[in-house]
Amino acid sequence: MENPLEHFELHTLILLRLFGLDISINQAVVMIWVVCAAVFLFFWAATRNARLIPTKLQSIAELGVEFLRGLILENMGEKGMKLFPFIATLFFFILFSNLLGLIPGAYTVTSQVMVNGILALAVFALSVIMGVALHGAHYLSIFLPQGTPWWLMPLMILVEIISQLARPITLAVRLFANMTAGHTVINVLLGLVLLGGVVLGWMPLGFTVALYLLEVLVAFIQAYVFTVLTTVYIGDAIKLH
Amino acid sequence: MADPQDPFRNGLSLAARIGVELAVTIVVGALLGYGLDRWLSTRPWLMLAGLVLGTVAGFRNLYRALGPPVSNSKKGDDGKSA
Repeated sequence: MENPLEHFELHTLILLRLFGLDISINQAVVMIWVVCAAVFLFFWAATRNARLIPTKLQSIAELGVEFLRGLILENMGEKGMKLFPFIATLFFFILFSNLLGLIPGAYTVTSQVMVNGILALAVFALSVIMGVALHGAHYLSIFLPQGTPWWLMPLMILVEIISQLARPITLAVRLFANMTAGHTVINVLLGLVLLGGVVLGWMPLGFTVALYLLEVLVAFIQAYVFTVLTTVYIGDAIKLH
Repeated sequence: MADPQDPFRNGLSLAARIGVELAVTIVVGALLGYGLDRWLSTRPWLMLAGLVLGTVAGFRNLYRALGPPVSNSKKGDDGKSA
């Protein structure tokens, strides 16, 4: 029986080394290129001959962009619109990674915790930079929630530091766990289809189809959640209570 | 898809969020304590303290995400009208 976690393993395709760093090309790297190309091609095709009365593809793209704009305005305010390109890139990259990863045989980039970790670190760094740039030393008050009684202050500062540090990690782990778990379950069920043969195999096959549809929903939800939390975290740094 | 206040989608995103958030916050607290322990060689006290603080932080975040007065959006609305 095939190991259900096997298809998450990375295989080096081209061995590359730079100053002792391993920068080999593996299938995740190739998939990242594919995802970037797909996002680019989608928007190129959608806006190729943009019209006032949009075509189908154009209206899908406009829906996504409008939706992100609403999200940013709600959570970050007008100042957040400067970060629109970053947030939109993040959303569409994660969404396309999740969706393209569902194609049988394709690699799911977001099932690599390092990829998500880098994205989450970028979000975290950006929120700190924005906070310090806008508020200076006053940014440190993010560690002290408003209305804390004085005798709770030392404790609350420690608690807030922990929950701030946990933010990028939760961002990365949530996406990774959801994508890995979903694909693993589908893989295990497919193994059951092979075990069950013609007589019993149709039952897990039905579940596989249902779960696959659920995974499509999860792909959207996870991209949405990552983006919402990005806007909330950066919005916290911009608004600062 | 254009309305960010859709209750169904808000519920879905909340459900997708909070489980991992609680777990990770507790683990981060404990690991911070563990790291400080190794650095200051005070094993195991800071790890225990970190575990407790992480649990407090995790449940506080949970409460903030679910709590009765929805502090974030409410506060924002009050701020706009005032």
